[in-house]
Formats: sequence, structure tokens, C-alpha cells
Amino acid sequence: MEPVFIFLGVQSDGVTYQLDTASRDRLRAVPGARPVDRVFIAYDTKGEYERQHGPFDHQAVQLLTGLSMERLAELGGVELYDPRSQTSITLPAQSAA
Amino acid sequence: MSAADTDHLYIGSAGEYRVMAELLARGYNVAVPRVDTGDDVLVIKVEDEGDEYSLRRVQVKTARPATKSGSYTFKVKRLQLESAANVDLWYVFLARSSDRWLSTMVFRREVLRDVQWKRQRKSSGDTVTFEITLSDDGKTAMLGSAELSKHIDDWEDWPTILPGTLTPLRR
Repeated sequence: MEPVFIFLGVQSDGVTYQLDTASRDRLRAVPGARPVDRVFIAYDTKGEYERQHGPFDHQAVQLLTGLSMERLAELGGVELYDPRSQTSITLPAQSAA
Repeated sequence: MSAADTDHLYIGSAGEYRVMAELLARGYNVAVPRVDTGDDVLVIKVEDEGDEYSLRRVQVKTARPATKSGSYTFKVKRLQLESAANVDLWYVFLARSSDRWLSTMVFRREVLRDVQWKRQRKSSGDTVTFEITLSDDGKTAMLGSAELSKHIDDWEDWPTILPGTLTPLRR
């Protein structure tokens, strides 16, 4: 099963998580899911994001999809894509924080 | 500056004004950043007379037909295309054939990104190139085997918000 794919965008005032359209359409058919287009977390500075974003990834993804990380793992997991480095990471089901 | 560069500047600027004119006619206020940092047009949609408003960004790309193939090549910045952001971004591709605008294609960022990722999951380099073939009447657009015609004059995300009818002038 394909993972739920999320694009990341880091701006000077915060970070945005956005479902790709195929993942959003797929989640709309999943009972209990309530996907939204984007979640934005505001920061005062970019440096603050760099220090803190890790612990918020899981919360942002759950807000974005309306599903728990466990349920998302059953659906193929979550992949976060960072266009700055052109790399994607598989988000572990459990937060390290 | 070469003639090609000059032509590009004039057509690019004309394209921006064309898009701004369309947005204004639909009731959206537009602004051009004083310093070019990547956004061609900022659009402000005032929802109310108070503080309720939304901001949108529009990137305008213009192209003339290639000499040999006749296709239109639009280049966008990869990082901008692939990034997520809290302010929505649209791309408007304008094709200029000889002395007229042949076609206007409107894409929300994630839609254009989808188009690209279906062709090639990840892009390399700083720019992503869309080489679009248009029919002579400008009503059919193809990117390889992908049909993009539904995006021609697709202003669905920009419904006219001006009050309905104009009041006739009294003599």
C-alpha cells in the first residue's frame, strides 16, 4: 500500500504540511478520516522551527488527516517530502519526543 | 540586451498585466511587489469591510512557440512548485502566438505539481519545464500524453465577486 504523502514547506514564519492530492482523495474514502488541505504551524523565527519541528510532525500529520499514527501505519504509513533537500522520510508511527 | 531578451521582457510584462486585468474584472484587488522576490502578483480578496481578507499569490509565465516543434515551453522554479505554503499559489501560463494570445491555462500549485509528479516523481535541477502543445485554435493543450485542456481559461477558483449588474448611466 502506498504511504500517505505529505509535502513540507518551510517559510520564515512557520512550516506548512500539505497532503498531496492523491493522498487526500484516498483518505476521503477512509472511515473516520477528515483530511484537510494544509496545516500551518507558526514560528517566530526559522531557527525556532529548525530546533522544534521534529516533535510536531506527528501532531501536524494527525491534524492533517484526522487519523491516529497507528491507523495511518495500517494504511501504508506516512512519507514527508522536503523540497529543499529533495528527500522524503518515512515518519515513524511513534514520536521520539 | 538581445532582441530575444527584450521580446521576453515585453511579453512577460504584458502577460502579467493581462492576468491582473482578468482578476480585477472579477473583483479581486491586485498588487505587484515593489521588489521581485518570486511573486508576480499578490491578490487580496476582501471578504468584508473589516479585517476579513484572504491573500493569494499568482505566478505568470508566458511563452512563444518554439521554432521547430511549435510547442510552448514554460519554466517554473522547482522549489516553489514542490513547497507547501500557508498562502495559496496559482500558476497562469499564457501562450502568445504571432500577434495574439492563443491560450491561457490556470493551475493551482498542487494541481500543476500533480501533473509534474505523474510524469516524473522527482525533478532534478532548479527548474521544472512544461513543454505544452496547443491546437491551432488554442482550445486543446497536451503535455506529452497528458491532456491539460480543462485548465484552459479555468477560472473556477476565481469566481466573479463584483456586484451583479452595472447601473446604467442617467442622462
